[in-house]
Amino acid sequence: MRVIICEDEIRQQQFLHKEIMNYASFHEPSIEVVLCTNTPDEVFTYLESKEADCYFLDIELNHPLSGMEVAMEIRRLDPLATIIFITSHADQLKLTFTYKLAALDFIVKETPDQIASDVREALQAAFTKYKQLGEIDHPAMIQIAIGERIKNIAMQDIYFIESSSIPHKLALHERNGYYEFYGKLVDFENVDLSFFRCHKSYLINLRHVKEINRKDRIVKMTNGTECIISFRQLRELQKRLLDLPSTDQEIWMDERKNHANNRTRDCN
Amino acid sequence: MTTTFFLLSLLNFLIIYGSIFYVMQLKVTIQRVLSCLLVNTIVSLLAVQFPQSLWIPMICSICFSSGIFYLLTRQQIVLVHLVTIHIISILAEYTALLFVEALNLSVFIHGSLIIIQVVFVVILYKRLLLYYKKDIRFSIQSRIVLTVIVCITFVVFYAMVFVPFGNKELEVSVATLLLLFFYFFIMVGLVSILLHTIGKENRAHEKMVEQQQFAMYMQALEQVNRDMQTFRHDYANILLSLRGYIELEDMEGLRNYFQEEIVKVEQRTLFKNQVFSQLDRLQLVEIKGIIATKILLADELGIPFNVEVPETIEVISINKIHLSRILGILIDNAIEASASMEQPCINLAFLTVSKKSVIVIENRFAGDIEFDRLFEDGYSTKGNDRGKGLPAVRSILSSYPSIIFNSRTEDQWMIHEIVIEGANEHASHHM
Repeated sequence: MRVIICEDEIRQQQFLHKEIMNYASFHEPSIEVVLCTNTPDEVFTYLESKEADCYFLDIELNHPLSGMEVAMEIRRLDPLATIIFITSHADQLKLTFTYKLAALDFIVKETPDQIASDVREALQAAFTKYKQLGEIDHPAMIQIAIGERIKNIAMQDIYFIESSSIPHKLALHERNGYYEFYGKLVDFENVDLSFFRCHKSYLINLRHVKEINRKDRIVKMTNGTECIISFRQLRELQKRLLDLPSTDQEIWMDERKNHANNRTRDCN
Repeated sequence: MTTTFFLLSLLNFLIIYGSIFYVMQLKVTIQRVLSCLLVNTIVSLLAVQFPQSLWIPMICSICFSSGIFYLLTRQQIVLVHLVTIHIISILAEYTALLFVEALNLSVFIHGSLIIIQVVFVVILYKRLLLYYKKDIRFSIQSRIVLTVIVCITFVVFYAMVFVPFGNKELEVSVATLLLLFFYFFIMVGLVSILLHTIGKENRAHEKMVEQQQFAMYMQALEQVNRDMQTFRHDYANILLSLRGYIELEDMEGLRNYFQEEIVKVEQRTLFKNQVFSQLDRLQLVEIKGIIATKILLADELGIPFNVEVPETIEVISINKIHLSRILGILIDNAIEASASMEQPCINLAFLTVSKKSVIVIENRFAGDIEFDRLFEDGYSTKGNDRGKGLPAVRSILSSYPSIIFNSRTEDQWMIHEIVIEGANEHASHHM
């Protein structure tokens, strides 16, 4: 993963460089700093001929372009860029940067220790994202765009997806959230083996089935919500539940544990 | 006999259900058509059973169909549509019958006359509905009045058309028909006036809310202004004390004084000022007031409340009363969750991203939340009566087809995102 640092304060710049190299040598040797500069102009020149994957960008640069504009330009040159902003002001527009520029992280300069730990976390998140980009058919994710920000939702965290009374609007229930988006349930039926369309309006994740009430044709999910089963799908649902390989279940548990460990903190 | 019966039934089916699907803008699926066909068959059979009292199948048709369509759309207005369509069909049928009898035309022309009239009137009806869409949608009383008027009209029409049916003199019929048309148009006129008045009243109400919000905003601004004044007043004293430390060359004392007295105390004033300058770009008077008041409330409780409005925002495509209610609930929840925290923080942003308005509100929280229960009535991490707002927010927002509402937790942050389609993109940046 190629990293570019753009920070006009020399001491901070060196500090960042050192922290990133440290992280690289201990955890991910494939991370390298390809450019370390104090002006965005050099970044633009670099991008004319070469490519990078991850940018550490100071917002308050001594430059005619504002941090926002620099980031927009980088986005234009490199749409997949992972941008991490660094600022000395806590009151900078964090949400604006996250939602308008899809910034991966936002580091506020307070104490060296805090900066160092934030940089490590950001690097880890960036590297996870970088790896995912490499695996083109990365399986277990559904992506939802909110503004420019992309939210990845892991398949195994999804309880169920339901259609709403408004045409084409779907609601997704997940371990930590509730999301709405436009689409059709049919398009999600085959994205994962454990998804099952048990009713016209419900696509459930079989891994999260807690119990089935055959009399009232209701399936209760692990989070306590109840979904309706259509008459014709009841038998099929029971069959599919039995067919779920148990070894798979264990793998899935492991994956989930890993996932919990690696959880990106792209929000903060 | 059976073929005419079949044809009539089919005609009835096309007129009633075709119109209702068109007016309600429903998607035609096989299931829906079949259920309508079933109702239609029952109604037709009833009509054959009681040829002398046609009101029985009529009433049944209205009841069953409104039941079905209510289940499909969850809108009470469907009853009004159905009764209106029945009235229109009665009128059309009656007129066509008169023409046919007077000019001795064939049954085929009879049928097509009915269809042409119905299509024409239904299209007009749809136009009228679109024109008054907002007033009907947001006012319960207008819906009730509409339903009552339409039902009375239906009874009157029925009585006039079907009761003196034995009397076959043409002149009488023409007179009745003219009377009915007269009545129909008067009713249309009256309903338009009524809706117009209700619309006006709604707008007046909105204006009032806007003014209230404006007054709240002004009060908040005055508060900030007063703070700034005290700051300026203290300024002279602060400079004097600083001078004292400098003259004594007491660097340690100066540092302490600066950290403790100036930075901590005045940062809040300046911070508030900065937040209000962001709020300035939000050109929606209706919601400025509520946000300003909540900022001051959070400030009193010592909760940092960031507001981000990077671009001027003039339009957000949502009813402003709804928006201020939603924001009120979400901000209140955030403040409530922050109250007992060590390092609370609330962020609120109004953004425009690719022609969409994005409103984000997030707050830090401590402890665990059962996410799916947040939206249940009466659930709250604090127990008791709190946390009632979220289901209300969701139910308000779910009535808008072009609004997306996401909620989630992420590393001890509670995040709500509202994406509203149709915003004006402003080129100007104020970073």
